[in-house]
Amino acid sequence: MADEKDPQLLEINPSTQVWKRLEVKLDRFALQRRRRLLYRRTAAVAAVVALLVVWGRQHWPPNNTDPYAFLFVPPAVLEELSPVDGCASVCSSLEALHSLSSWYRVREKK
Amino acid sequence: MIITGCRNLDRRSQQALYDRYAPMALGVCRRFIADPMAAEDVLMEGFFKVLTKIGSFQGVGSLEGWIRRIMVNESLMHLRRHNELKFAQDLGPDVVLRAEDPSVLDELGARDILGMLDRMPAGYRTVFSLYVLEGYKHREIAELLGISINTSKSQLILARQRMEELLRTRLGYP
Repeated sequence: MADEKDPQLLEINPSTQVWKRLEVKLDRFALQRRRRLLYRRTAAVAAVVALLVVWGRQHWPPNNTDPYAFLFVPPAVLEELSPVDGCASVCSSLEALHSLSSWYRVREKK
Repeated sequence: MIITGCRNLDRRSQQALYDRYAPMALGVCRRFIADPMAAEDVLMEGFFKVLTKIGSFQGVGSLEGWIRRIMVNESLMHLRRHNELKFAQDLGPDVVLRAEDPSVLDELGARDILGMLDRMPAGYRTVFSLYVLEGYKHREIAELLGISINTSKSQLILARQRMEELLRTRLGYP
């Protein structure tokens, strides 16, 4: 309860209940924000996966001797996707996969 | 330091900011809203906005001024939501001009005036608080409340008259 003994004060101390209620509201806000972020990241990852599937379908089955061709996503695409929230890890994984496929290719040729 | 913490939603920083500015903010709310409980509700809503939108505070002007403006807007929104903002009829332009004279209220301190605000209708109190205590101009008040400049001036004059009446009653003058 506000200090009612002196209503003429320019500054009035609020009751402790106000901060408690505000904390509950802030907790709910933080939770919603985390959820929104998670949804956004999930959507971004899903978009990358969908892109990969489309890419894979276009390149699979391989009509050439390279069975790992579908793993190759042009560096320009990766560069485009990397800054998108949540996509950076997917892009680095793709790059790693691509290097791995190159390594297999070299090994199989031998 | 506190502002950076608040931007990162750090609870300690948020509480530090609240502890520092809440008494001032509640003082602003109480000038517009007579009911102490309702004023605390408005304080909470206003501070929620302060803490969640602090990222938009550019550092132009003082933080206190920014918080004050949020509290004023939140209080006005509360009054509008509850249909409490009713304004008395405009006075004629000649009355408005004459009323620029100094009155007995000019001799009063802010604290004396604040004590009488609770006994005034919301319309008078709002214009009076905005003009006298928050330092808004009539043009700004008119824009903020969606009324004419003349209405703003009229409300101020009527508020002053009402206050003088209250003061005379309090001091026992006829």
